[in-house]
Amino acid sequence: MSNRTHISHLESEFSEFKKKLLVMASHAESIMDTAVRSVIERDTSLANDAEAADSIIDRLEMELDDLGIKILSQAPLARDLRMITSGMKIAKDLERVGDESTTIARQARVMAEAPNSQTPERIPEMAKMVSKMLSQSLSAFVSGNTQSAKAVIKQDKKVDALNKEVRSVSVQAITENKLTADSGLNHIAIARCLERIGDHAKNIARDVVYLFEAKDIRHPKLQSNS
Amino acid sequence: MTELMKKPAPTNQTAPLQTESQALGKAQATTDQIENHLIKVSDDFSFWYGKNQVLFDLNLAIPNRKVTALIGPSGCGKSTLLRCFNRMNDLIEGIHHTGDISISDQSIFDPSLEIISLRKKVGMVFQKYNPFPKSIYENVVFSLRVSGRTNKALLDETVERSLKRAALWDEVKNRLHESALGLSGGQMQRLCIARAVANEPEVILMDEPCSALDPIATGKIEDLIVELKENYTIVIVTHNMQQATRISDRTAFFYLGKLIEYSDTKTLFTNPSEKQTEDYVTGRFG
Repeated sequence: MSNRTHISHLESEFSEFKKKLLVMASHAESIMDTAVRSVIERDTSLANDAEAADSIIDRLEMELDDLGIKILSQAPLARDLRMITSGMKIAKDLERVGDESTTIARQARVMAEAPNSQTPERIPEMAKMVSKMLSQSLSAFVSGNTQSAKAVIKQDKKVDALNKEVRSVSVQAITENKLTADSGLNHIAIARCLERIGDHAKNIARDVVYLFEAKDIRHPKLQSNS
Repeated sequence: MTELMKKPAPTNQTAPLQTESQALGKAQATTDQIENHLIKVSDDFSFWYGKNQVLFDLNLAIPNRKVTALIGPSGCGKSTLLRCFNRMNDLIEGIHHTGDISISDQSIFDPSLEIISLRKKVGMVFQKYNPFPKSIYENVVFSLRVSGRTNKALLDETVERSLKRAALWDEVKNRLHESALGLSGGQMQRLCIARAVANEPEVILMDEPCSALDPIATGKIEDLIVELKENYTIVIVTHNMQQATRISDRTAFFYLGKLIEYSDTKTLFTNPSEKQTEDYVTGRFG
């Protein structure tokens, strides 16, 4: 293919789209880590930092939507089309990661202000696992490593199991008056947010598979029935 | 095995007349026929203009009553192949081919096949609308008159049916005897489609039929193409990728005279299997 007449303006818009998405991904990872640290370290300033950073992610999501629609209006096809549609979906998941992290940060502030509250044992483990899932799915997006993306999807069940465990342990502790209802609900809310972030990491991983393999791996039962 | 194409038959030669019931019979083909492949390009079909080979080792089957798009950069041979289907290339000196093309299981190169009957079976719509400098009515019935039909009721019926199929009837029914050259570009192109449809062809070939039209006229022609596939097999050459995605069921990508990829349109435009196809449809060469 020596006679390339590459559409340079479209290419530069693609480049900008990918760059913004990676910046957004970086912020999403950062805000999640900050929010989790605010819980573990009982640090309200970290919680404030996490909350403040969410607006950056929101702004980037809107910019990516605008840019994605602009590129779609030029009717990209094949991998370019998949990049924009997957990219816009990934941006939505990253925005939700920001929202969940903000909720974690709010819970952290409440816990920090409650003198006798304790960080639940399973939360750091769960946070580490979810952080790895998010990081791995985003790395797969950058590298195109779909095997790595598929591995993320398998990890989600462990996160779901931990979420259920935190919930049942917290409910039992409240019932046995070992934990105040407020604190127990804090723990359940944080675990629930982490579990949702795991879901978003899984969604991103699925989009990575679609982007690079053009295979829709959502809802495998539906696929096998069709 | 090089075979020289035959010169077209003289244009004043008349083909056997088709009865109305035969014509209606075509429109009422059974559903099992719809899934059949109507046009078969086989035996490594290759084509030369003199010493210049422009098509290489083609084998593909075009389904009945579907829209098949031929895409590829300029000079890739897609229009040459399209013109092979009704042997329009016969008009060019020094052409020859190997391999075969059949329509309804009959080779179009069969010496016993009259070129006129082939062209009745395979209508064509060109890039630039080309109505005759006659009335709208006479444009539609032109080929019928050439083939000796004079029955006014039959001609009237053909005009109405053809113009309705070309989605032009409502716009021109009150001025059928006015000059076709007074129509808009989009209307003239639909008139050309009506003229092609008047012969009750099995296949309609379209060579970039919308390239000279504005978006509104293009939209009407595209809607029309999708409607026409209920009754006809359509093969369209287009440079407009989005048009191919909108209207075609199958798409064939050609590059330098070779068929690079041929699949259902959605697959070809969302997940092409060949890198050359990917590069072309994403605008990275062309």
